[in-house]
Amino acid sequence: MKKRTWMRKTTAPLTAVLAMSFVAAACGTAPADNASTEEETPAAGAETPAEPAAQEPEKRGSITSSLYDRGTVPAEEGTMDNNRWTKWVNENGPVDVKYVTVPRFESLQKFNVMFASGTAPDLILEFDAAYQGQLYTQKQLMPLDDLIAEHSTEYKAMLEKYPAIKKAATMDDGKMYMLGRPLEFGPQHYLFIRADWLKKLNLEAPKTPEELLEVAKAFATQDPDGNGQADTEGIGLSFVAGIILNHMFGSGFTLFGTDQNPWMLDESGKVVHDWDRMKAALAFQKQIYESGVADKDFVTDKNGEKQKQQWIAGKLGIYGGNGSDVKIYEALKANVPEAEIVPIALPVTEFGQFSPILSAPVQLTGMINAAAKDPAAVMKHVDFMASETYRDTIANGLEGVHHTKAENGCPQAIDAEKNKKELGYAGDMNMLAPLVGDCFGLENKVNPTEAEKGMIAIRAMAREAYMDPAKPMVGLTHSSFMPILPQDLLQIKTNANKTIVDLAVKAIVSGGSYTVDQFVDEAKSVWEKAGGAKVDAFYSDWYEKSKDSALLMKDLYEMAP
Amino acid sequence: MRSAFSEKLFYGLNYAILAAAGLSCLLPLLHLVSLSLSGKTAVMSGFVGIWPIDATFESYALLFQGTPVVRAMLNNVTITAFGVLYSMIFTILAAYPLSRKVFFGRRYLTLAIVFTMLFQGGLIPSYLVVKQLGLIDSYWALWLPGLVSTFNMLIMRTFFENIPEELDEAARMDGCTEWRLLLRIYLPLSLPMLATIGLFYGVSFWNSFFNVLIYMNSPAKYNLTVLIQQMVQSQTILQEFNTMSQLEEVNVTPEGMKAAGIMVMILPMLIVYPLLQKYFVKGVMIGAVKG
Repeated sequence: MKKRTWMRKTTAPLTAVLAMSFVAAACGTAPADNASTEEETPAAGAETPAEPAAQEPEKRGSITSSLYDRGTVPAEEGTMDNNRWTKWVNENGPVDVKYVTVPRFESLQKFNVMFASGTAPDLILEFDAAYQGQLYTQKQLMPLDDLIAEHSTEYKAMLEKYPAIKKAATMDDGKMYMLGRPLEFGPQHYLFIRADWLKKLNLEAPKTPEELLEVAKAFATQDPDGNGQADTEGIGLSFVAGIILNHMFGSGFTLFGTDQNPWMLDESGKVVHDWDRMKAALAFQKQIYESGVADKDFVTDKNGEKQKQQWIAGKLGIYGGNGSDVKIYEALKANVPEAEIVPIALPVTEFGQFSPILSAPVQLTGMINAAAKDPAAVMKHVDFMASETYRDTIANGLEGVHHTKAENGCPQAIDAEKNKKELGYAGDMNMLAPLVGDCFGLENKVNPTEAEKGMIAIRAMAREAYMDPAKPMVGLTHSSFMPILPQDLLQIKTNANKTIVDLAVKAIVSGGSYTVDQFVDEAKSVWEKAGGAKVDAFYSDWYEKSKDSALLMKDLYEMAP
Repeated sequence: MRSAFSEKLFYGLNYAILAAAGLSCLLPLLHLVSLSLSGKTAVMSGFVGIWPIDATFESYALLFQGTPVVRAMLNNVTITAFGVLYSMIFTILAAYPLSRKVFFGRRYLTLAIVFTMLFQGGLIPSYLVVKQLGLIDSYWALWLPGLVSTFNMLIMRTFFENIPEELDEAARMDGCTEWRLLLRIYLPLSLPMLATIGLFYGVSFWNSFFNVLIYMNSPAKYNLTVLIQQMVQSQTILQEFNTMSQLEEVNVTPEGMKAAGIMVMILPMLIVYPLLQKYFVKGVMIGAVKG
């Protein structure tokens, strides 16, 4: 008896399960149906909003556009491809836009699959410059010169106003393939020092590498936070701090990040592969490491996370900061209210004085698919995206709903919390909007918080310290405007640099058993064996050929406000 | 006495090593829990160890209000529940006939199926097939191509083969049909194995990431894995130090919220595992030894 009921018990769920599977089959097919009908909607969709277009003779176009999804759209706002702002675009824009969302951090994979299967959107919005180059070399992109000349107004005006965009967007065949926008040209990397510690220990801000080391030593050993414990670190070596220590010597080779650009101009104006500066920079880092004032495990701190935590905790004296990160400043102030931080100019070395990376004044963010059916309509949407109405609406919302005009004419949030929820996710729709102007940036913010005020002061100091063309950024140009290497050369560069970075780390941490001289000899031979001469030749040829047309360091400084 | 001492030493060492191994698994989890429950300054400063500091549910509140985590979670449940259901039904329906000795040509069929374990179409062709079938943006794109996992099917087949033939004969003598034989005799006798395979399928559907990423186009259909991945990866923005714009800086997900997201994702599986564990061990073991 018992066994029978047990059996019935098992069969009952099984039948239920089978029954449910039919239900599921029914729900399951519904979305598929939707998808297939949606594909046909461009034609049908063009009719629905055609009512306003009825007054105009022209038929309303219909395009597809990619859009990042970061998983930050609150559920009640809908989804990234269907929310109040995508609706606003379709109601107020010149064309119907169907958004194809692409998860922000897997975007390349998704784009690759879409291109391979012929389903890539007409307008592609992607930050990754290397991927843009890849699409160009694969001939997936449409040349834009004629299209802009014939069909564009707003974007054309933007190009005329900021000719650097055209320079940056023009590829080696002389045609323009990318869409871009102007950004604020300003400090990006900062060499921060705890000014309150300097005062306490009666020290001056360091002006030379030797002084920098001395200050770091004092920070590490003289208990600047006054808690009676030897728990402070002098200087960071990983990530941004490491990059800055290389830039200080004028070397574009870094142990961290993905860009190693050791190419520089010699006195005769020729491009050469630098080894001397790199050697000096490494020797200095080795000195820092050996004097025990930095984190012994800096090598494992690849993204500088640990260094950042030390800094926020108020235990680090000299730190490499990235961007005007108000959150970090705020957290440091919360832990150590008396903390006073100052960005200092890079110490002067035997190679001169340099500046850390400044943010690029131009950013390329868009491309048009070579297979786009209606390029003119895409261009209309690009024009709309570049317009002030679009930029301001996506950035600040609707007047009267999300913001009011403050006294200086800039938008002021009515309810910051509401805006965070209703506007916070829309930022990626603004990828073609010029991010310059009187109401843009931290400095122009209406009613900044205490931390923001602090950061604004820091930015002003950083401008003073870093934006001088007499202390230029390192390299031939900003790394985002270096030419795109052909696949085979890229492989050489990547592989050889990987080995060289490992060797460089070894040189820093191995004391007397592996010296910087040994490193340079070995690194040179690694570079040669890998065929690095071809890469050197490529950059050299590129510079010779395009020093008048490419966006070089001096052009960037000319764009400074 | 000496043997007793060496025995004690052996057990003592055993316990010590196992405890260390257990802790090494537990500590990261505890760290994650306390990260998700700590105040944001403490998290940013790296003060948080195993216990939460400035305990608050803020991260969870942010997660549930500011992101579609609930929708993603429901999607996960849908994908997993129906995925396991369909896969189990069809795996059983494939494994059972292949385990019958009377089935003509079963060796060749099995070989043909095993062949797919070694050679696959690759990403783009698979994508094109799914697209041609009109399954893009439908969960059928997840369920259908992976309906029967060859590996699971083989385990199941071997298990069925090891059920004594005498049972089969006895049942037939009483007039049992194939369907009845499967439903009333084979399946009830295979519960541990079914639980195991169900768990295999369950975990793989719950964690499915890449398929969701490439086949699902509407964000409303993303699951937790894709959502959480975007949060966790927002850190990499900081590494693209030369392309970062001020807009992107704002978008870095706070550490505490990431931890909360990861907790929400792994918790259901953490709960399911211990419940099914007794079957799990037994199930994998059976089938491994041929009687």
